[in-house]
Amino acid sequence: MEEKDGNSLSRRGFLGGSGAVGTAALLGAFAPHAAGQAASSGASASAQLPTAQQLERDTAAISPPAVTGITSRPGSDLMVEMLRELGVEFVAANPSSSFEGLHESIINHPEHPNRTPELITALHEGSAVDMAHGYGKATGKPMVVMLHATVGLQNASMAIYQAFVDKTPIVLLIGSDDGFIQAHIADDLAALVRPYTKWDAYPRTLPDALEAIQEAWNQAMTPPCAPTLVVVDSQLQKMSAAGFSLPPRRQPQFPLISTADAALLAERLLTASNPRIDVGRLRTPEGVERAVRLAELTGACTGTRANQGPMSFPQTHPLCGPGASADYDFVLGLELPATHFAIVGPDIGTLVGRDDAGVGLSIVRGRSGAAGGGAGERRTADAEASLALILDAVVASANAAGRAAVIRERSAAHAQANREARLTGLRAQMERRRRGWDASPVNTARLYAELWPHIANEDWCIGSQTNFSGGHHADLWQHDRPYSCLGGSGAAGIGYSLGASVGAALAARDNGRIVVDFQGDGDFNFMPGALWTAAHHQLPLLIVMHNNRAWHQELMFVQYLTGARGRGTDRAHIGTTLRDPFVDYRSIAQGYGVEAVGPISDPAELAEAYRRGVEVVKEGRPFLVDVLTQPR
Amino acid sequence: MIRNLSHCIVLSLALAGTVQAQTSAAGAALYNQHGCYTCHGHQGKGTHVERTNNLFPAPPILLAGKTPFLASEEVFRAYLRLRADQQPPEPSVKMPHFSAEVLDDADVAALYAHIMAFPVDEPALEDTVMGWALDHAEKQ
Repeated sequence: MEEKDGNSLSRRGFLGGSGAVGTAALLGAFAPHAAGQAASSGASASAQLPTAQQLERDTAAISPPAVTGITSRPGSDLMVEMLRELGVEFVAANPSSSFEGLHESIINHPEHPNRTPELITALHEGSAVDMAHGYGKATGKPMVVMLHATVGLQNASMAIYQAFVDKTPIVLLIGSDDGFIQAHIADDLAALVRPYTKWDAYPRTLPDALEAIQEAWNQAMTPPCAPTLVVVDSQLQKMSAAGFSLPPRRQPQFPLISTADAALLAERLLTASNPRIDVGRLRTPEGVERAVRLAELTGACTGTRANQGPMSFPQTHPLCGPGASADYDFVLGLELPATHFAIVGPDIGTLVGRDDAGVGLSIVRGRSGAAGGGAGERRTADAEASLALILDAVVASANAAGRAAVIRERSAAHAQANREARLTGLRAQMERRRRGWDASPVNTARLYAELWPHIANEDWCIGSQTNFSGGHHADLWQHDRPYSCLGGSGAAGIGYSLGASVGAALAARDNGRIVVDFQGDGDFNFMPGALWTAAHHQLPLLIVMHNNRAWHQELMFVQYLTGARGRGTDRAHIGTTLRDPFVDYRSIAQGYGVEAVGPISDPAELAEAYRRGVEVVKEGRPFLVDVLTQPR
Repeated sequence: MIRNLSHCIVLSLALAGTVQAQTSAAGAALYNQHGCYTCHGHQGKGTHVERTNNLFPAPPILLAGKTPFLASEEVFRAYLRLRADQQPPEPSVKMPHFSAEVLDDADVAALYAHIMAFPVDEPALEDTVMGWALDHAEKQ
């Protein structure tokens, strides 16, 4: 092995000798790249010339590194045990030479081969991260994605960016093998995505790698939730783990409000004559349960974002709605600004210090901490974790018993008012959607409305973004579970919905749940290979194509500008539409092994297509319905 | 005489119908050619969504007797001609501007005739699947 740098010890030599060094001496040696710290890898500014051997591999006879010995218990087995200890269910990857050790350990672990975690095969690294994005929003916990060095990481970078802006926990394990293909090597791999990840590390020993994986999990889970990254050297994966064991489990630490604040909030909610709790996006289903419990204990009417995103208050809960009176004398915001008091976790703007490359992402700079708005007091803390303190304070309050009758009475009044408001609102929304009901191509409102009877009594989840197809579910359906609606892509990037829905379907697979993907055609064509993943892993996913044969948003932009310039809109379709030829999505789906029908342009045919689709999905197979729709 | 007169009336009506059909066909072609359907839908249904911003507009439905800028052909023509900033500062999904060079008065007339002929197409809620959905919600 040649030295990479004549003035330093070869990395392989260092790693090879690490097994002889005491474990305790190595703990803490990995270098997480926190804000303001130097790059973990000690990046060199000088470019390295490839060796003759590397050049040979890059240009012609590529062969995997020679096997030098058989390791019965490799380091990667221990890494997989660490993932299992953390509760990781799935690891998505497109196969690679730099994490072959981890790959092999996942599928062949002697005690739990390909179970917790299970390897999910992705056809593109971006799809793999989108899957983790959807899974993370559906469950509130990270899925792991393995990515191959420079090339895999850069393929995934757009999807990582979206998950970052969308504050979704994901753990990325980046394989690195400095002896294989020169173009796949970087001194500081994490630098490629550092401005839009929360935390990263490049551990140089096996104990450090195990610690780093655990820390990556904990960092991803704590607000601001976001993707984290660990570079996992291939030699650490392949070295013997004899004599090593898992580090003690450390639980994530969530920023909390003080006990004094908790007691104050309990008293305010109990003694107010008309309190309200406005619930934004909490982290996990447990947080939603806590919010429901708090509302029920205090008789507060609640606001929800459950029809726009995950982990909010159930829409048809009796206390959800405007309540009997909109004259609220105390409003508590949970992950939302509020009139009187808000608990809002730190936003991704607090990570601006990681942008040492000076990329200057405006989305990060513009979100410098807790959300703005609301005139009341605000605490930068995790609302979900803080809810436990408030609940304890409510139960312990001397006012709890004394106010019981009042709380019962106002809860009943809220329930009746909320029900009336909900039904009145629903009818009004439906009335507005009668217009163009029988239109062909299919009205987007009908695209949603016709599906509702087939899933209303099922456990369902919308895995895709829906704004480009009208988002009619928000007004027509009732969103009662933490994962009913997973919301948008985060950064309004395209190519997200199919992969995210596949990830949501992974979360649904063993729970009898149906995932629906309202799939834009433009978005679909970025990474359609996720269909194969859905077929291969037998996922309960119904894909409804919103096939308007255009990148319609951009078509409107071009139309406007052609008009503004007085040149007419009749050529605005050039470069903005998918015609000549039309895309045959049914054939594409079938080619990937997904049953499909369509294209459907007669709305009267929708009900039967949906019935068949839901039937297939309930049997554990994906199904695609291609619908020719009105543009919006 | 009376017979000739009735023939004339029938002929006139037939000619008027033909002209109207031609106008409507020309209007339909213009409606598609200039992409009116991309925001207002193929039958002018608009979007049902109230949430609106510069990315997700809420173009109005095109409905005779309901949409203000369809009050008359003159109003409609003025509306088309007066639309749009000439130097939009950012991408916009607002209603584009249509100059006389792009849509002349005859084009506007044909387009107007086509839009005014859109079917009302508003079935009762109970005659749609939304009726079921309302019942379902009431039982919750």
